[in-house]
Parts: sequence; C-alpha cells; structure tokens
Amino acid sequence: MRVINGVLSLLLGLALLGGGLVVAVEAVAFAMGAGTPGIPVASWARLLEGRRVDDTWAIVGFASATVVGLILLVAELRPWAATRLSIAVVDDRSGGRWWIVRRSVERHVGQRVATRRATTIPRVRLRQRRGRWDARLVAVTDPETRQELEQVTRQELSRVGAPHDARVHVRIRGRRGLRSAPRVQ
Amino acid sequence: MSAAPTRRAERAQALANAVTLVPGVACLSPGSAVEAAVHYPGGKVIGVALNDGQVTVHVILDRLPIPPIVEAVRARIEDVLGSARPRVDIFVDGAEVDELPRRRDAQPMRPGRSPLALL
Repeated sequence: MRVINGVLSLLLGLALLGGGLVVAVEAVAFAMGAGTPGIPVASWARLLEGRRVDDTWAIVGFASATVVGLILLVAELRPWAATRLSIAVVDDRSGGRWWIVRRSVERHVGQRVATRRATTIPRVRLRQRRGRWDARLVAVTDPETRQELEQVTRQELSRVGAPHDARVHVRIRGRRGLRSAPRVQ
Repeated sequence: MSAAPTRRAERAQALANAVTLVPGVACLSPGSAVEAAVHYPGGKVIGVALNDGQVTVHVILDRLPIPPIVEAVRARIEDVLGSARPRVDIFVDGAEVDELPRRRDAQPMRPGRSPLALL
C-alpha cells in the first residue's frame, strides 16, 4: 500500500504541477493581452456544453471514477499487516514495550529453516492477532520433514522473543502437489 | 546509577552511547516512517526520541537471542535515567544476524541508510 500511495502522490503532484503551469501561462498571456495561446479553452467549453449527463461517455466516465474510488477506498480501509510485532512488556510499572520489524523476523526464520532442511528459502508470513503470533510457512521439501520445520520455526521464533503460545502452521509443497498440515499448537 | 543529565540533548546522547555499548547492538537506527532523533543546534542524536514521559530507542541487532539483549538495553537506559521512570519503548528495527558484521565501534546510522533498505 505504501508503494501505491507513493505512486498516487506522484501522479497528484505531477497533475497539480501541470495545472499550475497552465494557469501561470494563461495568467501571463492574459496580462500581456495575448489571449489563451495554445490552450483550446473555448473548444473544451463547447464540448462540455454539448454533453448530457446520460451520454455514453459521461456514464463511462462516472462509472470509471466510481470504480477507481471504491478500489482505493477498500485498499485504504483494508487491515494491512502491521510492520512491527509487539513482543513483551519491558517494564510493568511504566508499560513500556519492545517491538520488532515483522519482515526482518520473516526473513530470518526463512533463512534458518532453509539452512536446515528446505531446498529453497520458504515463504514465511507472520501476523499478530490480539497479541498472539501466527506464523505460516510454505516450503518446497520432503513432506516427512514437516515436524522438523515446525521445530526449527519455533526455535527461531523463541530466539527473537516471540510469545510461547505462537501458532505455527507449516505447509509442504512437493513436486506432486500441495499437502497441508494441521495447525500445530 | 549515574545521575540523569539535565539537558535533553545530553540525555539523548548519553542514552545513545549507553545503548550502543550493549553487546549485541550493532547500531542505532533512525526508525522507518518518522525519524527517531533528538535535535539540537548543530546536530541531532539519531535513534533516540524523548517525549513527555516516554523514551523511544531504535536499535539494530547483530546476534540472537533477542530477549536478553533487549533486557540489557533496558537496564542501560534505566542506569542513564536514574530516578526518572518514563515509559521506555524499544524498537528492534533489524535482526539480520546473517548479514550484519559484528562490530563494537558501532555508530548511529545516517538517515539516508535506513535499515528498511535491508528488508
């Protein structure tokens, strides 16, 4: 979402910059009595005056704007994964906490698991719901290594300070298809 | 315990110095979206933020396990703060132990070298 916001901000900035330049050129040209050079404002006005709300192009424009707006609204309101995970209370009296960057933990766990059994670096997804960690790991390896992958994942989560009640869900993707393991407490 | 510095920037610098001396702390980090720093005329202390009743420290670690390192960081902060008991939030902005060299002459990261570049 951060990338989308950046792109939209860039487009908005460019649009405002272009509009500002047009207005500046118009103002200078009008002040000098040169009319509106190069900008067919009159033809634009005639085009709009000839349009009706129920014209096809108007309806398509309204619908497109509505769809884009709804997509952006849903994307902004969607609960995205937190960039940081809360680990524990540091000081009971002050309520201070400590946090860790989620992607850093995901990469660390993935690399450590890969060095143990998986043939490739597994995909690790960490989430935190009501203070409880939920780790989902997808690895391409031998299905018989699932227990070991779970164990390694738990060990690494423990080393980064994850709560002991963290849930670990390992999915093994073999060459013959997808096999899922039950959620392990 | 050492006496708490009276000036804000001095206190921030003392906190930064103490935290970077903790074994396992590679360096301080400016954070992600909003830079965590204490500004003063002519410079700033990166990685530490002091607000009313709250101290925030951003660190990058170079070893595991993390909990004892964070506990040591908290203890160092308490030593510097002395009798003051603000809320202390510690942010581990990176734990790329396989990628970071271990160094004892740790310096705060420059703003342009955000740890997010590692992610």
